[in-house]
Amino acid sequence: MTLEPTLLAEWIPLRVHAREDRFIVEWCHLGGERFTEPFFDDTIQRRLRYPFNWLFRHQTSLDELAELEAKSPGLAPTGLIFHMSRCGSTLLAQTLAALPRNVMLSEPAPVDTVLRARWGEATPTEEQRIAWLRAMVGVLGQKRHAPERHLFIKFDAWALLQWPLIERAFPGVPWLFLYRDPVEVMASHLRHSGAHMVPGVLEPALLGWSPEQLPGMPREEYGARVLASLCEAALGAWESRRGPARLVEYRELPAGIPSLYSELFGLELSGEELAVMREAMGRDAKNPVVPFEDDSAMKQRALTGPAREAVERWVRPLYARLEAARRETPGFGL
Amino acid sequence: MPREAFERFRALVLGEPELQGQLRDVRDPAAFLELVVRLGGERGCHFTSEEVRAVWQEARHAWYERWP
Repeated sequence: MTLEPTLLAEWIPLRVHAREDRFIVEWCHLGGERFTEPFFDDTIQRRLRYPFNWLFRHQTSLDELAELEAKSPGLAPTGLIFHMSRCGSTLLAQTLAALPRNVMLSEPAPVDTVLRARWGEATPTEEQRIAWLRAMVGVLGQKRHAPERHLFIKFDAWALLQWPLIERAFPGVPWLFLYRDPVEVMASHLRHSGAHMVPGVLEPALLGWSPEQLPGMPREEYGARVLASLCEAALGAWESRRGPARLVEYRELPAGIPSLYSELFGLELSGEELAVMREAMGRDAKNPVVPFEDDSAMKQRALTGPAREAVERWVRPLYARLEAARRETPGFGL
Repeated sequence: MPREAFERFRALVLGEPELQGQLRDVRDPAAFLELVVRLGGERGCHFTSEEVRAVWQEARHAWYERWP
């Protein structure tokens, strides 16, 4: 069915799924909500508390979605956030979401689906995927409230593996890569594993591997090599950067956040906005009712045995390269 | 055909923001089902709350099977 562009103000794509030879976009009623939860999916889950949103969803093709976006373009992205997971990216997202002038899309599933779209034997061309990616971000990033002026997208950790495509979709948009001591990242995943750390969830080709490499690979090695791939992709993006970009280490947070936003994104914060942001910084980003606690020392102690060995072997050298590159850049940093 | 009746009602709702407005803020499942059945009946779309509940269950099932 064809939607009127005016409906973009109240409905959002909540998922994209393959049906026969095309992709179907399902739209959910968003109402007047802003994306203030830690993740896009949390906002969707909140909407799904209403029975209406289970039973009444618009459906379009991805091409129709692109037509709608062309008629009513979304906010131009102000900044892109990439990360190695479990390193403070949700804190960044929450500080940006705290300001009413920002639209913060935190790991939106429809963007991930478009980036990794496949159906049967056929694969969309890169041009198609770029067009769909821009359209999806534009539709999700509509200006729905008067104060909204900036759009930020925090991608899933593995999105950076497709950096060339993202760069072509959003050329010159300032971006950052956030990372952390890999021992602490791995310790967090061992407690509660992220999807990308489970063998078989990401397509091996995305990691530059053949499917034959997977069977028999110890879980610790798999996870460490995924983290290494993310860091390597970040280094590749950094070395070939053509626009404003920053490498940010977890230890720089939260104190360095205001100057980071000002220097990289041109986001000059008023005293009132700084106070709102500081309030968000003091909370646990993924569970905002709990105060933030630095758990680095605990995580350093927690990781032992094969997992620690795998991290030291596969990820440490790339972390060291990231740190060296970060220290070479003037300005921000410890 | 009750399912066909519900699909006709679904199409009506998606085309009428006023009708959406009557349904979308109802949080209580029993009250919602009762309202859907009543509003459907008023528009000549006759189905039961159990039939609507089955469509809802299908949607939940599809949602939780979605990823990756």
